[in-house]
Amino acid sequence: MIEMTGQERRAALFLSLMVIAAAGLNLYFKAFPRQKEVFQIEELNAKVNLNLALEKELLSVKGIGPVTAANIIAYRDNYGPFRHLEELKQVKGISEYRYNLLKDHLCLE
Amino acid sequence: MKKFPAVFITIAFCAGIIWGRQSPYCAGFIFYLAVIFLIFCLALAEYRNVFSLALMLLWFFLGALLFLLSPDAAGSWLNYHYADPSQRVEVCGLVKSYPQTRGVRTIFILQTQQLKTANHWQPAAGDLSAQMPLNNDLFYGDRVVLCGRLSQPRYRNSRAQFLLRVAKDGQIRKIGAKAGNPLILFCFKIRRRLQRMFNSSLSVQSSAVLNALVLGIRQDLPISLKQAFIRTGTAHIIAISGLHIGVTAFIILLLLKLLRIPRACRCVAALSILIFYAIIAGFSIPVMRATIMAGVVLTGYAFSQQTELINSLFLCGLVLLLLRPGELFEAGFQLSFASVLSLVLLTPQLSRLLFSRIKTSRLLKPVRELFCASLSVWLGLLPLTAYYFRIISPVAILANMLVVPYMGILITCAFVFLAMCLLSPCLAGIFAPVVEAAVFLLLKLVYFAEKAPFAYFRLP
Repeated sequence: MIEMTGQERRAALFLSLMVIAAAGLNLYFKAFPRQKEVFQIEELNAKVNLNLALEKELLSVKGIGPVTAANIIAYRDNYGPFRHLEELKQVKGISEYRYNLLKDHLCLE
Repeated sequence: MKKFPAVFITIAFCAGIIWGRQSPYCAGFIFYLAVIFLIFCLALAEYRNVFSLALMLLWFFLGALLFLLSPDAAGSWLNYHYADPSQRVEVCGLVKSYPQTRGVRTIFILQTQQLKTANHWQPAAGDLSAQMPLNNDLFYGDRVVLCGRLSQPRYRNSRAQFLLRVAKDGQIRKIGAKAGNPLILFCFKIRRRLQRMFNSSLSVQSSAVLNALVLGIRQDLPISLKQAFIRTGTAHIIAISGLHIGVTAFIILLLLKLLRIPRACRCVAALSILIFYAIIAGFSIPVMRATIMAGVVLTGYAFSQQTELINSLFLCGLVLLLLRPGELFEAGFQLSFASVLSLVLLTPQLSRLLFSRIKTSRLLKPVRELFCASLSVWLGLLPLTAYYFRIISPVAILANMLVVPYMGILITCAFVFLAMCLLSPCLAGIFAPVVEAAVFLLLKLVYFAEKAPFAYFRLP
């Protein structure tokens, strides 16, 4: 019916075996799924992550307006993630006074 | 045809996928059938005809089995949580694709990891197409929490079974980054950088066209231009596929040959670069098909072996369907394979039928071959384009004769421009008018073809 050399037959059988084995494993894991760990996600009123926050999240922090949020994101884009919270004072528009107001609402991890 | 075993196996596999879609049997039962036929094949390996039949039946059941186990089958994991479409859900997942902008919305594929129902988080799985207000901060590999409404997409999409719409006031939080595949993340960063190079150095229209032609980013193309491409049957040039991979492979091999690199090393280097380019270009089905075929042809070239195009094409199809069986029902997959199949099968026949009694000069021979190739692809795709796009474009035969060879020049210009951008912005500034002129000429060709009499017909 189909002309196959001995090598082609062995290759086809090997491929079939691999596919059946993979399908069998897939079926087994679907039938007996492992308990997936559910990681806890902090609620919104928790501290905002300075290195991951989007503009919208930064604006939710009292004391950060649109200009300051944009400056923080620009600083992150230019210099990379903040290594410590005090680095926030390097951002344009954030003085020592403003930093003291914001530091309790921000985190790095 | 008897000498092309991949053709028969792939056809049996496809038939199995189609049967699996309607089959009332569970995956477990079909698995046992497949094992039985595998045992038959092993036992009857010496008997050629019986072995062939058993092998085809084995692959038929494997097709049905893999379809039932794939996310395209009815029992998708997210289905278990999709109870009330009017309720807002909170979903935590990984950005799995390159975020695209469409108007005022950002769209990407989200790989779901957790779902919040009744105030507690529980594990979930499945891919969503997430649509949210414009947001340029998200990227591949980011872990996000989105709050929105789940619904079934209007158009079937094998990449995502559900649609998640996040409203303007909806919650969008990024809680992690760089959690995806490092290789894909690296390639997408390059893609973003190249996109910015085009956007900063060229006009809006030229950068939109080159982003589509070279990087597969079509979000900025004007609708009138997209429609012009569809009406003239040249929409395939704005979807990265075999043409782009072929031109890229040719350029790479030529450069490496000029550097006097041995054949085998040339092929390995070319294939590695093509794989990178395929990921950068978004790794869609046409790109994957073209890259796999290029891999088969390059491997044959490296070992000085001639490859059978039809066997290679069906082998590519089999590999792609093994990874995503549901792709068989997607327009992109069908169009991609139908075009290459009609090119390979119909072109010699048409050439013999139309020009066997006509003597053409050496100069006109390429024109004759181009005409036959364009006509064969048009004929091969006619039923599919009529069905999916409700349009018939007679002008496509001539338009593709002009546009397809021109694409080689345009893609080369684009790559040279990118190389200059990387080396020196000054050089890029000098070369930019050349690229602008090349894009302008392409658009002129397409718009001219669109306005030709009887260029296209819309079907009811």
